[in-house]
Amino acid sequence: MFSRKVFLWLCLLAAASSALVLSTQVDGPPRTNEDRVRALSEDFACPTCDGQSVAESNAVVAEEIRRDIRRRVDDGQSDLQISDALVSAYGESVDLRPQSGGIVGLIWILPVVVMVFGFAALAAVFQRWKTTEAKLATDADVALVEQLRGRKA
Amino acid sequence: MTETHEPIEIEIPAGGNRLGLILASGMGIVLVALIAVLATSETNQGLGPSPLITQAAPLIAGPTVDGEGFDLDDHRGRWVVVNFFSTTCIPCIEEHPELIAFEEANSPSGEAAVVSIAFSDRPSNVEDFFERNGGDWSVMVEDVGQYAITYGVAAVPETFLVAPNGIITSKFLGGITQADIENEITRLEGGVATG
Repeated sequence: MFSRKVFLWLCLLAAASSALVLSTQVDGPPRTNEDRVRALSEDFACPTCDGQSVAESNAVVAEEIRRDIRRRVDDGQSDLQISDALVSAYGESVDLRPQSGGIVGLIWILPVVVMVFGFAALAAVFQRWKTTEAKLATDADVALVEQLRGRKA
Repeated sequence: MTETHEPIEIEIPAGGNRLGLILASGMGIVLVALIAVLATSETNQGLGPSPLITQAAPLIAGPTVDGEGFDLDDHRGRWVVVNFFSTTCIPCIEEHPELIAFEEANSPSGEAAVVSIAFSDRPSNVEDFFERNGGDWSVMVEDVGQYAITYGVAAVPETFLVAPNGIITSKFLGGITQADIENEITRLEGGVATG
């Protein structure tokens, strides 16, 4: 079976992974329809405004999009269905959510990759320390040191 | 004992000033190019992009101001001009005679139809608008926000051209003319637009 050290490393890895997963779920899903409408409105940019979300803007189109989101939520559509409908009408540019694919997707993958490589590197270093045998000085080494000492004196 | 040091001479590379000049010139050229691009860029007029182009036209079906009702699917086999407008927008008022001209030239033969959808407007305003400015085609005003959003309308006027097979072929941003629509139809049918 696993040695105690390996077991501890596995525990550490499990704790770190759990913390990472829990950190993304800490808020939990919105529960009421009102919460969902607000959350979805914040996820989309007002098509005629500079840098404002649908939730923030008072533009006519933003008001209509909010009303449309409300109607879809009340109709029982999922967040994904509503998002797809808005993106297929207005294009990807209105979607303020970080993308999961492409180059932007690296933002999500990179920390995990770095963590895995970090753990692997640490494990390799610790293993090397453990297996490196103590090197004793040979007679030639001792003679060389003595020779240098004599020269200095 | 304190040590004294020779003053250190720092040698400035001869090319330093030249490098700065090149960098400054490069930035200047980029800035001028940016201003030129912005100054000559097209305004929000004419044909515009839409994720819906080449897609099946989303459903438009419901009551009209005259109480007759409209269903986009009933118009398969002819071109349909879907015009999103508002009674208070200036370009909408300006393009209205052009829509009337297009409708009168193409609707009686059954080649094309026009439907107007009032964006965030009141039925009474829309009725007054058509009474004052003319126009005899289907106009929808109640519960039409969903159509505007499904078509990705950001600011009126916006006009979509739906082919006889029900596919969206073009989106016009801003006010349009009779010639804009007819030339686009001619182009899409494989003919040559008259300009």
